[in-house]
Amino acid sequence: MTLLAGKVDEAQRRSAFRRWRANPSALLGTVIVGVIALTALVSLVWTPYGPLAIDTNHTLSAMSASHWLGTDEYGRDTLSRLMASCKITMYVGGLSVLFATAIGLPLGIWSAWNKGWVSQLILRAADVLYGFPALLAASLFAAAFGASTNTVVLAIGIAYIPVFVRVTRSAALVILNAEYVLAALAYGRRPFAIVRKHVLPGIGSIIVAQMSLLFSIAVLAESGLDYLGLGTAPPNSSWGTMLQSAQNYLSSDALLCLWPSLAIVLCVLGFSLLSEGVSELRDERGGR
Amino acid sequence: MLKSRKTVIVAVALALTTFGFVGSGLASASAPTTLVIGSQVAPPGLDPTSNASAAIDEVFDYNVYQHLYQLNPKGQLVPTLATSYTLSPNGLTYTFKLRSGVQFSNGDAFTAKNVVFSLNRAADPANGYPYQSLVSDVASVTAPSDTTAVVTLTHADSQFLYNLAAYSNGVILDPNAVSTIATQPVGTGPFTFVSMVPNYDIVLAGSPTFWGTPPAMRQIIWQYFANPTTMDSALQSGQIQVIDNLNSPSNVSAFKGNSAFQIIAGPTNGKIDLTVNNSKGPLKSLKVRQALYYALNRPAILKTVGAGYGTVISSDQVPGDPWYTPSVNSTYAYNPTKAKALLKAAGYPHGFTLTLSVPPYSYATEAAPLVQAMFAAVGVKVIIKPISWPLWISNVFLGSQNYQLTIIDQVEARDIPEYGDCSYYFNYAGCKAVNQMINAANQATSDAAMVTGYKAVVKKINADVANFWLYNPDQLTVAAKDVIGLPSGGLTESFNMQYLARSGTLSPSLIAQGFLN
Amino acid sequence: MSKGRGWFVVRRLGVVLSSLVAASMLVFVFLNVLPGSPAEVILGTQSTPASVAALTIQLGLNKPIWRQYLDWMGGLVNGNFGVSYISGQSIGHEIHQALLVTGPLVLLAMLIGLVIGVPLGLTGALYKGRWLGSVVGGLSQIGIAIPSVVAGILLTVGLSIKLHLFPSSGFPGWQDPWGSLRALVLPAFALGVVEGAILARYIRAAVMEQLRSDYLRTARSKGLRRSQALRRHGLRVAAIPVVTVLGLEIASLIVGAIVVENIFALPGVGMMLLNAVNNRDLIVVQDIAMVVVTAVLLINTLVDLSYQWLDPRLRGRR
Repeated sequence: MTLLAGKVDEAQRRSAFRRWRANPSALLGTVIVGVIALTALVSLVWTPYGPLAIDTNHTLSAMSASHWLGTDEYGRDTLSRLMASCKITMYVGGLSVLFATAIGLPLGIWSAWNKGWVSQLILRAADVLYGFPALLAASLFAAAFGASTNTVVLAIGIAYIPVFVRVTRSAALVILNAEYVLAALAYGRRPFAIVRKHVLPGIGSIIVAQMSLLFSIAVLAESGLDYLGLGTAPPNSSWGTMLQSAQNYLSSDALLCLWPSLAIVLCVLGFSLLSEGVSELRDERGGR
Repeated sequence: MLKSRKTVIVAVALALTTFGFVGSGLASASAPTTLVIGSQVAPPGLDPTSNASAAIDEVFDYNVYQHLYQLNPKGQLVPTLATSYTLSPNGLTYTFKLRSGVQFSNGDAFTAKNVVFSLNRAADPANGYPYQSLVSDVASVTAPSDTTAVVTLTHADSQFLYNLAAYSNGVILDPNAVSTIATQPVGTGPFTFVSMVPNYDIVLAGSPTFWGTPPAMRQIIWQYFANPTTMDSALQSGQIQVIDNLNSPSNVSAFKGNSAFQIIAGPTNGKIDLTVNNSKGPLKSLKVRQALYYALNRPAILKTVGAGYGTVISSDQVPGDPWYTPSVNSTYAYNPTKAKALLKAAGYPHGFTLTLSVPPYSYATEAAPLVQAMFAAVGVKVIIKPISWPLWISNVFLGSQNYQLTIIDQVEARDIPEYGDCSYYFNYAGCKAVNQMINAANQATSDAAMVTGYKAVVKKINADVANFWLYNPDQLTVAAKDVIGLPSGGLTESFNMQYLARSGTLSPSLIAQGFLN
Repeated sequence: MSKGRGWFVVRRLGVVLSSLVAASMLVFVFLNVLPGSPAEVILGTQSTPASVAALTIQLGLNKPIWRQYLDWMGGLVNGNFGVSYISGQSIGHEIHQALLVTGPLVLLAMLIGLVIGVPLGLTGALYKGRWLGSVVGGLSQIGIAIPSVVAGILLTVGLSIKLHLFPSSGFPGWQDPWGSLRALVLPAFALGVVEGAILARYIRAAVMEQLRSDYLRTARSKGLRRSQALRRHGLRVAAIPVVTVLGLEIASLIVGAIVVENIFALPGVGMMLLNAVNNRDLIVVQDIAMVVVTAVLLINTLVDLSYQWLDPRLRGRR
């Protein structure tokens, strides 16, 4: 029995992997996200130069063997700063999405389950929260606590809560109204068990796709907030702050602007492809 | 119809330019009479008497509002609404002879009563003038006649007239217009206020009631750019003609060597300081402060942050001060070895950690990583903590003064008396002694004695390393080649626009006062 | 049925109103516990404890906090936005001026987004699996990934500094309608391109879903061509997710507008908000927050109401 089950699992896994490999969005997304995550990990222990190491004798130098992507106005190595920024981006994106999921997911399921005033209250609260664009929150947090990477995480995370509540709720509603779940309810299964057995596995891929999508939007939002000086503060590097200071040298040193721009585009692209890939895979499986 | 309207416009433009031509004797008939000046910091309001913002003074002081005496771009006193003054031998009574035939832009006449009203308004703490403390020694103001005003002080103050000319507490107001001062400024100056779009622009027009020669520019627009790169491209594409000051001097590279633009590097009163809280931890020790001052490569900071435009200073002084002592600036030259030795002697062979609170100004955010690297080289770790401006005021400058280091441009002219203020955020231990020295210097009846007194203060605070003075930045004005009459530097809070023109030449007397041809 | 719908509208408006009251309290409380007072900012480096205390009383900031809240709300209800602590100007007038920049900017950006997104999305769906569909899909993926900062910088460098086609910055004001429109073109493009890419993606997905749906299959079995069937039956229903996305995107457009206003030096709501936060101009921040929240809530409500109109199956349901 168990042997047979193991074989089925094995087969399922292999076919999942095959479908994954066959889906261009999923594959490309995974590769890009993997590269960025790996770069972030490497930057924890090694970068070509210190990302904050100033060398006033070699400011704004061009690409060379010693500085692959050149240096900025303080003579800091651009490649090292790009790598260190990867880490910040993964931190902001990851933490803000996790924060929003951790709060939004349970609230969403609860509001789908409960049809009473509590559910209404959650939805209305989500609406009010939704009315607060992340930038408004970020500028208020920056004013209160000083601009930092963590204020960005908080601002983006809070802004995403209502999105997760809504997405989770609508996905959970579909499952809760499905006949087999209604049957399980009538059979007297406990709510928690139904959520664990049916709802969570049912909405899992939607949530993963949504998390990946919001991660990509978080990268965009973070770059905008950093650019406006509401996020990661100098001298620490992030792609947004790099872009902001490189902009001053646009006429003389356009490449300095190019690298952080490319990094942002690539990162957003990676996560949004991954999100699309997950959705497509789900559709395929659902369609089978 | 259209044609006739066009003709009218041309006629008006001609009339205006002719006016300018007659008035200044320099503009040719075809020269444009409108100028757009770009600037980075938008004024938060229109009233220089209720807000300390330098951006308000820059536009409205001298240009819309005038003083009895004003400063020319070289920092010298020039009679303006007064024609002369006499000072009583005991140094307590100033008698001003006032200019006659002066009108406010609303048509009200200017008399000695306006002086009484304006100075009393400034001196009353209830009115909340930002520079009220500078006129707190006014005992009385009287108007014996329409053209005579008498100001009596409680004690002799050699800096009184300078302070009245340099700061917005000296503006002469019309009591009938004060109730609308926040929205409709009325002054005696060469320009009147037309309109403002908050955070975007301010439009001024030549005042029809101005008593002097009408300015050649009949309309001046101040346009504000939060983004310096946008401002640079606006100048390059001809949308604006002048940038008052490049906040990031490194941007000068975009204009250097381009014959279409002129770059004016002029002196300012600013002192960019790595400000020290003398009462915090290791910073209490003189040896530690000396060590850290030796650890700072200030010429390198000036080169990177100020693009080399400025003067390295080692005390609270700028070249324009009467008591400027250049020899002091050669002290504490960069010497990391000596710094390490001093730290060891002070009992910190392994260094310590300091927190640097950085306000959101480009010179501060740009200097902070340099300071961090230079201190790290002698074993002192610096944690950079960005802080918003309101928090800087309430936590660093006032209140708990809970900071160790911060970076700030002390922009006020001749502000060395701050080192004699024991509640000031330096928490300098020598404040009482300095206060006595400054009081003595202010009571001095001869200029020479006053200067000697102040020079002693310059040397004392340098010997005590009461602060880490970095450099005195230049004002970097960039303008289209054809603009003349620009002030040669930033020694005044006002950006004096009276003599701006787009053609012609300036009179030698104006050039001697520091306006550029 | 129509009575039911009217009742629905009234109920939704009630919800919006109560949400607004909640939002106003949230904003007010948060701003008033922020450290740093307007008095200190006004006095700057000239502040002393005594002068700050005097100015605090003059500004009325010493009143109890509930009193300040009621004063503010009382003003808002009567359409009076108050007077700025910092500039002494009427805030209502300032916000009105700023909205005349940001409003058209956002609308223009949305229009550009629709013009780009709808054809791209439809092409992507109808040509799925063929090279055209893949190209369109790839384009919209890349479009989404371009931050408005980068788009703004590229557009200024290309079209304004190099080619002088559009002004690089500034806004002449609506007394010069042609000049104002020209000034908004580049900023709107910087916002709209990304918007178009997002819309294209949603439209593509929605239309593909419709193509798979049973009743379109039925319609096709009646002999209609795929595009005909889509036009007659599917588009209206496919519009639902599109309208939803448009509504959702309003908030992100407002955020994007702030970045773009910064790049192009436009005197819009975003710049006003950032400056007011930096100056601790509390009432201005509160007012702008309320304007933004009101706009977003109203748009969400309109989106919900439009479902009823777009999808007959939902009529009479809530």
